[in-house]
Amino acid sequence: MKKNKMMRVASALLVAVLMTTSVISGTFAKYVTTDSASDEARVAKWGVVVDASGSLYGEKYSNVDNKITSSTDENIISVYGQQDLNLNKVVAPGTESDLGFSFSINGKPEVDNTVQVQMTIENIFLAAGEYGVMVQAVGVTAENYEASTYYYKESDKYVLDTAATLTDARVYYELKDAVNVGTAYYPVVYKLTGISGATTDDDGTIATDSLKEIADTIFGKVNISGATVTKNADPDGVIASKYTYDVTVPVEQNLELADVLKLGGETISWEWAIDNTGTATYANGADTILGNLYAGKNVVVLNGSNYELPTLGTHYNLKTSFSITITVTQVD
Amino acid sequence: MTEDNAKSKTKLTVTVKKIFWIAIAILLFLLILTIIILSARLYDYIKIDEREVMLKTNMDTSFDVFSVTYKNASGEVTVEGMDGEKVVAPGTHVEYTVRLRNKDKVAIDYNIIPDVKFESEHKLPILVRLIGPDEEYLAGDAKTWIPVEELEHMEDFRTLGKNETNEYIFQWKWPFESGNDFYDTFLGNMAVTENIGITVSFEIYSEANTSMADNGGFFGSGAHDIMLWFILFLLLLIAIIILIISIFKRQEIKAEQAYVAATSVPEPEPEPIIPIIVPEPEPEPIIPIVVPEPEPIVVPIPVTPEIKKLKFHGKMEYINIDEFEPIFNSGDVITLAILKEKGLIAPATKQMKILARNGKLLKKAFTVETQGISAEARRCIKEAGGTVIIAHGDKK
Repeated sequence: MKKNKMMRVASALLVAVLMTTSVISGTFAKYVTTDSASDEARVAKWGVVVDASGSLYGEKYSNVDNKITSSTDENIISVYGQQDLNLNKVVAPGTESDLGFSFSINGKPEVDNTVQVQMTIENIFLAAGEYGVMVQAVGVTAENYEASTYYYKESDKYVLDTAATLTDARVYYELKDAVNVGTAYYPVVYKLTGISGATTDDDGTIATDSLKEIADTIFGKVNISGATVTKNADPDGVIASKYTYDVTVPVEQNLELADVLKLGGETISWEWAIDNTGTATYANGADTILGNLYAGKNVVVLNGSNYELPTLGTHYNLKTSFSITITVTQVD
Repeated sequence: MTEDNAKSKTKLTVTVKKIFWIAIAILLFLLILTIIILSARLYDYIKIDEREVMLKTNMDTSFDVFSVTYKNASGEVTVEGMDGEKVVAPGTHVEYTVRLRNKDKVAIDYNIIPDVKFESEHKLPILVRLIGPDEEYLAGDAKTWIPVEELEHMEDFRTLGKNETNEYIFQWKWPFESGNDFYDTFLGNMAVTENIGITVSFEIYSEANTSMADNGGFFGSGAHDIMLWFILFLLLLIAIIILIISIFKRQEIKAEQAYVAATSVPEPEPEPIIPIIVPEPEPEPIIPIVVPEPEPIVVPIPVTPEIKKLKFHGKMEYINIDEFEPIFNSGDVITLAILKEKGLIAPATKQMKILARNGKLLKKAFTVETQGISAEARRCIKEAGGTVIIAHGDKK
């Protein structure tokens, strides 16, 4: 009996061992875990819009040297209009820009940026002085010669012949269309309307360079605190009515450009009145001189006691142009 | 056997028994301890209901690859997303470190996979680099950045030992001077009305590594750690089983010996030698010398005690050698069946075992076929010239 019991106990233990082995072997489980994380971002907004509308100098745009461009492709607005004095074209006495020219800039970039405003202006003018047109006298004889009436050319000057008698070898000239321009004459009067924050329009006169005044006004609006001025009505050095402006304004991210620069809604227009004599009695005479200059006639200006050819840029200019370039650039 | 010898033998038996039981107790204790440790080690391997995370990453707390604001070298904010939204722009860049820490008790095999997705059809001109552990470049190099979309083609497989940490440095930049300002501006303008963005993600797949080499060798942590404890557990169990079996076996042998001792006739004691004392004759009187007669030698006549038949379950019966002597002759073959015929064994008996009572007095040579025989009985039969054959019992 004892022996059988013992064997049964031993057998039971062995079975227990085997069962334990099979159970334990099943618990050697491998497991797989996963972990993941992600982050996303969108492109920071730029959205600078430079808008230009209207025209300055007429509906037609000529070649590359006389063009009006308005490009917003690269956040640049560039308006350059130039018209020569042409009695048959837009810029002439009795002409004006019908709609005017407007430009604006707005946008709220999410990045720091700078706004650079560059302007170049040029205006038609006739400097103060006594002008006329030297026309070769025809049929001057000893008989009808009168002293201090005719001029002769001596190098570049036209000298009044005060001789009592006629000199045969000389070519005599007569001064026609003489006019005494009392003050500088700017026949094209520019006007800036719709200035934000201003109570009155910038209304020019023929006695002042109204285009420069407008440019000064625009410059004054963008030349805010912190701006860097490179040029402030820097004279051309050749053309007295040609000036250049260059100012760069830093703008922090998430600021509306229109609010910072206060540009937008302004309209530039101009007029060359048919008759400015109400303002200046010499206006019509000055218009004639400018016309003669454009026609290439022998316009002269009194220098001392003699008449000389006027100097382009000093005594006169026959072109008017307005160019503004606004460049918005992200800063690093 | 004297009484002293019997007592000392009994003492020895008790001492051995004690040692055995103490040994079993120790083994049982070790077995329980092994089970506890084995269970604890198995617990480390069982993951239930996400109660334990093997691989810790800093991505769980924050994964700020992109930012709402970016600063220049002077510390001034130059880019800021409206409404707190994360943005990217020319000139922005970030370096982010992904940290992986193995907090488990085994090595971990992991696979880290970066992924990039553009939110629109427009790809962003973002360049990236990825530096893996040991400052090894996984994407780009010290002088080269690669387009962000090329990250999708890479992944890194590694094994992280327990308590080890690996770091991955992810760098991205949108060059300020990309050489394509027109496209940059285009994207920035499109972003005003469209969602043009990018999503960067990292996925990590990890699993336990049960290889010995990665788990500190045979005695390190890992599955072989468990194997070691399991083998120990089995050995202890087997040792206990063997001990128990041996104890029972010893008890069986003792029972047998006790039976033999209870049924055997003690050997006659040797004749005591009584010295004959011959007193010296007295000189003067002549006295007849009386020589006492020696005591008669008593030779005990063997008395056959009543044979106590032992039966086990009616299947096996014991029988002693001295029962053969009066019945059989030398050269006879004695089998179970013959003994049944002679009435010495019950008919129902299936097996018999021959014991050696009075075996030394055996003079006849028998050929005995039996199922069991004690060693002493076997020796006596052989010394008497007989033969012992182990045969099968009756199956009836």
